[in-house]
Amino acid sequence: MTVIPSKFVIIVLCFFIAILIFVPFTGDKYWIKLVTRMMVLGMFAMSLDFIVGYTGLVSFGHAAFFGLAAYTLHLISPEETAVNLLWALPVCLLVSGTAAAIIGALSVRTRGIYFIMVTLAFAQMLFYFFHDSDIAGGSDGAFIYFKPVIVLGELTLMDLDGQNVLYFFSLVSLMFAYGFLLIILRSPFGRVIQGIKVNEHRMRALGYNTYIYKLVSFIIAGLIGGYAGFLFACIDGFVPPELLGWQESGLALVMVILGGIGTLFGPALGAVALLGVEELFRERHIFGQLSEHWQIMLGAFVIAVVLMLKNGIGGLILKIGDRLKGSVR
Amino acid sequence: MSDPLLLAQDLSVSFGGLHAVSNLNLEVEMGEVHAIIGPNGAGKTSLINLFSGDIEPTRGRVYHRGEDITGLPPYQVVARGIGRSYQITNIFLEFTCSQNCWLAARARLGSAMRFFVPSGRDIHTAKRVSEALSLAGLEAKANNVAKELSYGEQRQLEIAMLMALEPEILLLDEPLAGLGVDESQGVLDLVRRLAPEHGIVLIEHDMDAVFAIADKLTVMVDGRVLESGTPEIIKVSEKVRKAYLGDD
Amino acid sequence: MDWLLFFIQTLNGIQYGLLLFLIASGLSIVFGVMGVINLAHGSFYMIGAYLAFTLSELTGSLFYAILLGIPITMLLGFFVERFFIVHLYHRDHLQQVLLTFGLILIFNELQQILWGGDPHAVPMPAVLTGSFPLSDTLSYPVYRFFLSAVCLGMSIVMYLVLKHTRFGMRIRAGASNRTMIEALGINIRFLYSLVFAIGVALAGVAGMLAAPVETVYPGMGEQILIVSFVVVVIGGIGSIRGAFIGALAIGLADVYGQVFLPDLASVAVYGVMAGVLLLRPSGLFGRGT
Repeated sequence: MTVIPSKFVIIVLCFFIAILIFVPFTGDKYWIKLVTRMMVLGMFAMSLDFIVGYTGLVSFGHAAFFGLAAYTLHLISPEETAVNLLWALPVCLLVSGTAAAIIGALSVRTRGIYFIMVTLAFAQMLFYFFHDSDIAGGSDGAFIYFKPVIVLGELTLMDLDGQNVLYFFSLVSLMFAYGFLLIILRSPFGRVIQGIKVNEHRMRALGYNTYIYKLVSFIIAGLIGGYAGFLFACIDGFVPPELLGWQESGLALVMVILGGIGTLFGPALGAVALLGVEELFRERHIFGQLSEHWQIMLGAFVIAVVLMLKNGIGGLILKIGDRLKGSVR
Repeated sequence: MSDPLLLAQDLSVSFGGLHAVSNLNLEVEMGEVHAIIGPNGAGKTSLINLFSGDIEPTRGRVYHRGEDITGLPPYQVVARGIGRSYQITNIFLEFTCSQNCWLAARARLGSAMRFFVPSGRDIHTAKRVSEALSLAGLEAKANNVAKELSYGEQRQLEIAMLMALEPEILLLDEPLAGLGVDESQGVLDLVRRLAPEHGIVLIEHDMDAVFAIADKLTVMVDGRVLESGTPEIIKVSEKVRKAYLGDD
Repeated sequence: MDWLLFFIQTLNGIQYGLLLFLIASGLSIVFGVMGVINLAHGSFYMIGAYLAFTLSELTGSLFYAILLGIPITMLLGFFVERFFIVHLYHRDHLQQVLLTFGLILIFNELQQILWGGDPHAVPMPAVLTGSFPLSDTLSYPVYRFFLSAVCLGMSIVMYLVLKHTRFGMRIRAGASNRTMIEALGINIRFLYSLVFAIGVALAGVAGMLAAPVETVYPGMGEQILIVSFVVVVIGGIGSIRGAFIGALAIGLADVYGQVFLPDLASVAVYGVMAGVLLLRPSGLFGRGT
């Protein structure tokens, strides 16, 4: 139950952050957008790791909260003007959090395989709701014509329409989410959920009402997942129902595994790696005809990750850190 | 007359067709070590599970200080001050000893819904953790990960966690199983020391230990009480000799 | 509402339920016996439907298509079990879910390559194209009766096999206690392959049978997979009886939802699941958690 990152991990993360700060200065719009997506999905994967890796609840419906926040932003954004982030973000989080509370209240009652199927089913219910109804563009998806802005009084402090503004806002949000989840994991609540992951029965015998702790953990993950969804909607200003779909949930789980389950920073790196691999597979110069069917390679990659990778990228970094520490001694 | 600390009334539980415990009556007073003995499969562990809320009785009731606690979930039973140890070591193998005890100590503080304060800052809990570890003789291993401990030390950790819970009723399920002579003696000393201010239910196979420490003994066979009384009464009981002790 | 219309909807619900049962029972048996959760199960339904499309074009009849399709799907099942599923027997649910998720990505893309993104219609066999008149204006298609009858027949065969054969006994033993079957010293490798292949074939046949009723389209596998999950959650994992009752309940909930709550039709099914979860978190016939 060591939550506080070691010095080595902090150094590695600072290195990554330094690279991230540098990216917008390249001025390459394609890259800036791609890295924004990486950071936002990294935040999403991190929130999923909070429940999968620390509470032991394997949710296959995490995209529900991601997509729900994105749709909420669409629904509260007027068509002719930008919405103020200062109230829009809390509203989006409220919607995601409430959905997580309701879905969680029902699904946390179940365990293991049931939990996987139930979370998947509820997320899919929301998918079909947005896909089949016409409240937000149905299967075609919905648009956000003006990105949120931060306005205080008369003063516009920030406009997420600017690519670099959104980029840095996402970077700060990612760092905030990491710090926020770290603080929670270090708190009494955080220790309790980690205890539940290791031995839930014993936690009950010690006197913890584990249901409540699991539910609150599920809601926290839903909130951060919703935050990520809010940002994701700002990237393209487009919200397709697929954001809530099972593929999105599945890929987030792949990011968690690829990045290293239960390391928190790892899944963010997993998101970077997975999106990077996806870009690679789509590269015509390298894969030719096959690049049009890159999903086959992605599927094979997912299978390879599951079969071969044990502790993911995060695990690898931790291991190197331990080695170095050992050799210093 | 005040209500007994722990009281079982006509307690029965059956799994499928098997009557693990049937029509059992039992009383535990404050300051008393009440040992339950009997052959394997007599229903001793089932009895502990009934007391701790791990299983629900098919019939009968359990009272704690006169209040009906039958069917309460385990976490509410613990909150009332009834703690148990496990026959099979049931600890958090990936955590250190003090983290194991921390989870137990924190449990009695009520809700752990504190999100933004570091757990280390909770001085009260930290104090209970170090007390519990020293009671169980594990202070030197406080920062060792549980899975790296020896079997005996893991058993001690189990006891330490129970201590950290600070219950008034201790349900001890074979606390000496697998321990060496010295370690056993340590646990027995601890039980003796705790006895005046606790009610203790003890399941144990080591007869020497049981007769040395118990104030009261209940002999269970096939889920029923065969005989109950002081060690002296049990020693001379014809029924017990025949059914259980007779084979030596 | 006209009672005759209601009657037709009920028949439709039962037909959909029976079809779901074929798919969900395969899912449930594979989980019960091997402890593997297979997300790619829906893909086999999709593959069945596309096979029906291609094979009935080649052979000229859905009947031949099904006869050819059964061994093809079984072979596919053996292949997938041998190369992928076999790695999952001693891994946790998360890994099982993700590996089979990878399989779905591959199957979906293969489907795109082989058949493209357009939906296809599959003609019914000529003998079954008619319909039974129920009143002056309403009638019920013969093919739907045929579909229900075949599903029911297969369900009965499955019941008899499970109840009265050695093979069935082993499956039941495995489903109720997995360590027991490992202790019995049965040739588990082969049993597992066979069970998985049968599960795949059941899903495949369901897809082939459904092809003429529902058009064949990309993504049809996932849709049915999720609904099958709902069925299994309602019925209780590893319980065939539960899957049967769950499937009928969901089939009826779906059609009644479309009639009575057209706006929320796609959500009705999940409402039933939520209700069952509130009352019985481990399903109607589940073994408890």
